[in-house]
Amino acid sequence: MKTALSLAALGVGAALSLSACAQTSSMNAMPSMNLALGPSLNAGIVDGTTSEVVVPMGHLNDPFNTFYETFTSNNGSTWSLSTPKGSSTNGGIVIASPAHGASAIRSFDNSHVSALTPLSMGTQVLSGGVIIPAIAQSPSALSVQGGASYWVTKQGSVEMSTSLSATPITLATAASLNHAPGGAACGVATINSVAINASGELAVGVRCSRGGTSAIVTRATTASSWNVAKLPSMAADATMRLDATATGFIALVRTGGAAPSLRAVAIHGNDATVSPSVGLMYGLLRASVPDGHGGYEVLIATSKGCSVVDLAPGQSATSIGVALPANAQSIARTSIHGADVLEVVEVSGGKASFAVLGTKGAWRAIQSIKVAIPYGSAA
Amino acid sequence: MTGMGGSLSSQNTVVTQHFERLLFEQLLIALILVAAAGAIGALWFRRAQQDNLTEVAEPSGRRLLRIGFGIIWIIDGLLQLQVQMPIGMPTQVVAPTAASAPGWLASLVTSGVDAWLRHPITAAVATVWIQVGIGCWLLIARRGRWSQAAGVAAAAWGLGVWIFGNSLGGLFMAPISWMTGAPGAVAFYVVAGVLIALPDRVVASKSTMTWVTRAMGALILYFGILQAWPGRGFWSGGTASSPGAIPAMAQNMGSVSQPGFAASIQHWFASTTLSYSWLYNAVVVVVLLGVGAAYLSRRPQFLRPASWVYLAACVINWVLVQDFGVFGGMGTDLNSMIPWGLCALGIAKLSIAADEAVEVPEVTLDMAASERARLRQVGSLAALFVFAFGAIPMLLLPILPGATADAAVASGAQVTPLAGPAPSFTLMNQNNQTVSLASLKGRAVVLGFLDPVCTNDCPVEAHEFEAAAAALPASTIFIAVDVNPLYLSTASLRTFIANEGLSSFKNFDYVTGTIPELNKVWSKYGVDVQIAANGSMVAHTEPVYVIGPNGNLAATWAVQTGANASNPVGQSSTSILISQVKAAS
Repeated sequence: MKTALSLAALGVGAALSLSACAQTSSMNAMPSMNLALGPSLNAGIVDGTTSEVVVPMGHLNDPFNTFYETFTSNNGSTWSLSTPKGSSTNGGIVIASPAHGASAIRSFDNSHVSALTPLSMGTQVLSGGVIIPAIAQSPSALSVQGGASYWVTKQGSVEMSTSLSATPITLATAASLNHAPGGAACGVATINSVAINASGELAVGVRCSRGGTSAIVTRATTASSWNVAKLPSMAADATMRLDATATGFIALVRTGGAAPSLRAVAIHGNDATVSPSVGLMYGLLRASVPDGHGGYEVLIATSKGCSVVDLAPGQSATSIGVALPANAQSIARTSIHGADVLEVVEVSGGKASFAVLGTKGAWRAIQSIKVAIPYGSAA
Repeated sequence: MTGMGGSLSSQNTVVTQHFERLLFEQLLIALILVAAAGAIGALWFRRAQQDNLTEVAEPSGRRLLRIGFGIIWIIDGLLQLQVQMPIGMPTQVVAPTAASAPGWLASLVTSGVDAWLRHPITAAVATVWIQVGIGCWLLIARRGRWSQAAGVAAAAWGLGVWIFGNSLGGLFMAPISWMTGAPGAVAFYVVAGVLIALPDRVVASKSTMTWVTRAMGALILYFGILQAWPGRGFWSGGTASSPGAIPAMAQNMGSVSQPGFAASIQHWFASTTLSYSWLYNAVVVVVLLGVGAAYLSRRPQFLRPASWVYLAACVINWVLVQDFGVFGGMGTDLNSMIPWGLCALGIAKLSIAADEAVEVPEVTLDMAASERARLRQVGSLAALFVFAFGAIPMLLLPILPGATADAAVASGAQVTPLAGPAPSFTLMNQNNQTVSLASLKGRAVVLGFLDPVCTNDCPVEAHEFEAAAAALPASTIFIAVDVNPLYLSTASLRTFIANEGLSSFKNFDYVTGTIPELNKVWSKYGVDVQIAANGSMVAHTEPVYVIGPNGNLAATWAVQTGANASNPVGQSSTSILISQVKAAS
């Protein structure tokens, strides 16, 4: 037990080591952030008029005692706690399509105990029976379109199901993608993200074995073959997030090398447009949310504090606001009085506080929600 | 869970209580067997008391081995009385030695571990009788066939232990070293047993003893060379933050709970060898090479001093590095030094005697000596009964059907039927009402252990309870005992219930109490609780018990967690709960 826990704690602990924006220790101690190569857990998502955000709480420097909560806001109303009841939430929660209430629970330490972990897929909610282990252990990816759900399994295959009781259909594996045009050149090693757009086009984020790069592989609605989207030469080494847009997909990719950075990539067919980059040399991507106009707003924690940057293809990178709340953990977008609003979620004293950008670029708290898990004085 | 996984604690009260009870019951039977042996002996005495017996005097080397190893076997048998042996022996002692063994050996050892874990209490109690029986037998039977048979029993059991319990003495656990116990204490038990079992003429034969002495010399020499080999970590003391092999061993041993004087020795030796590892290792190397050469030469003028020097070196290393053999963790034997030193000394004595071709005449004993010899034979018969009392169930272990109740969830592999009254408790539920297990007689009870601030698998387990309740008679009561000493209030329990949407779960009692009250319940039901350093969710084992309407324990299993965990019986916990409660009702 101790070994397993220690390993889990090491891995997740390292990923969470930047639990507060301002750090007293040197950021040079974590130059590569390889542990954060998967999609960001602290994700915000907007689906029509419904917004949802995942927020880490508890003892944020102790993965064993960090748990995740989801909050939902409909039609610009106030936020409310929407974490599925009876969940094992230490491993994180993956959300997709809040309008459909789709979410999956990531099991901490790959636990298999989760016979009843609630899982929403499409319009269906699983509240009994044995969970699909592959979903419980998936890296994070879940996407919903119509009545069908798409996910990436722990083993790295892309699966689809229209019913919880149906046997999932495997749509792609690393091996099968290597037979796709361009796939062999990439040498698909792993699949870590998936998205399906309104027209039924599917995209997956993959990591290539050649050159340590990553790629986006797409499949047209009616086609059975996959194509590797031509990412510009930027040495992307990880897909941090992949979402569908009205006309294609957007991805948040990390570029590696000596000076790691983040970029947003818009994908249309086989073409891709890339945003300017924001440096990650001394920072960590903490959260992200689609910005509503083809890019992402990202929350980055550095030794000097947190910052929010808008990364949109074809536009310059923009820093948003100043003096973020000291313990900002996630970001979200809502619609308040018809206006699209960016919100930052601060976690402190067992409360999740939502703040909006006020005049003069300062953040103003608008709502606090106390989470009743008595973790003492912890966040 | 909150993290401790499903493996059963070696201190699990259900197991330890069964172990103690079975030991006591079998002790009574063993005493009856001893009395029966006495009665048989008395009858035989009456018929044979007129005859004077003849006996050949015992060579001093053989006597040393017989008495020395007789005492050691008894000590080992008594060490098996530790209550953690049923589970701890296979999981903490045996399994780690197989971890780095080659596949064929690991599978051999694993088969033994599996057989033990199916019946851990039977196996642990049997081991006590086998080892105590062998020890007494060796001590009592001085000469003749009885004594040789004791040697055979010692060698046979020792060989089994060396293979199945020791993975061939941990020879595959690098780096093997004379200092730390290679090639395994039991190897010398086997050698001593064989020498005791051999007929006098074979042991007195010069050619036999030449072979045996030189084999011992080669073994000592080999370990001397290994000890001298550079790059194995024994020459350097390292630094305080990164100690070398010798101080690291001493530090590890010293950190284990043990008498103060032993810990002090280990701490002193650890700090000294940080600077003087090279000196200690050099002395060891010189002694091993010198003694090995003396045994290879087989010349009495070298063998005599070498054997005593070797025994002294063994005793020193036993104290300084092996921490008296029994203090550095769950002691099952004295470790290798004392057996090896005794074995080498015994072989040297036998070798010298064979070399000098001392004729030992057969003498006719007088009446008193004959009576003592007959008494020893009766005692040997009693010791044989005790040995067989353990050996027979041990031999049957691999073919005994199923898992007995004592196994509990020893391997975490299956639901285990239990018997006997469920330990009682009276605690307070979430509504500040007293809940007494005794008052629930006539109703089936499911008992679990949950942390009210757990966000890991406790919520899942609670919902499994709720789902099972929906499929069971309304009379079934589900009780969860609070396992977080930091959150004992009933308000904490109500918060958990509200957070997890369990408010409509009517026949669910989440109970708490004072820390002493809860400690008693945790202890009785074998729940280990570890408080997190920063206070919050605790780590705890997660047994689930089903208690029948008659108030008796009916079944238990452990909730499995962790990267390699799998569902205990390939079905959801809900369906296990339903089937087990129906079976118990």
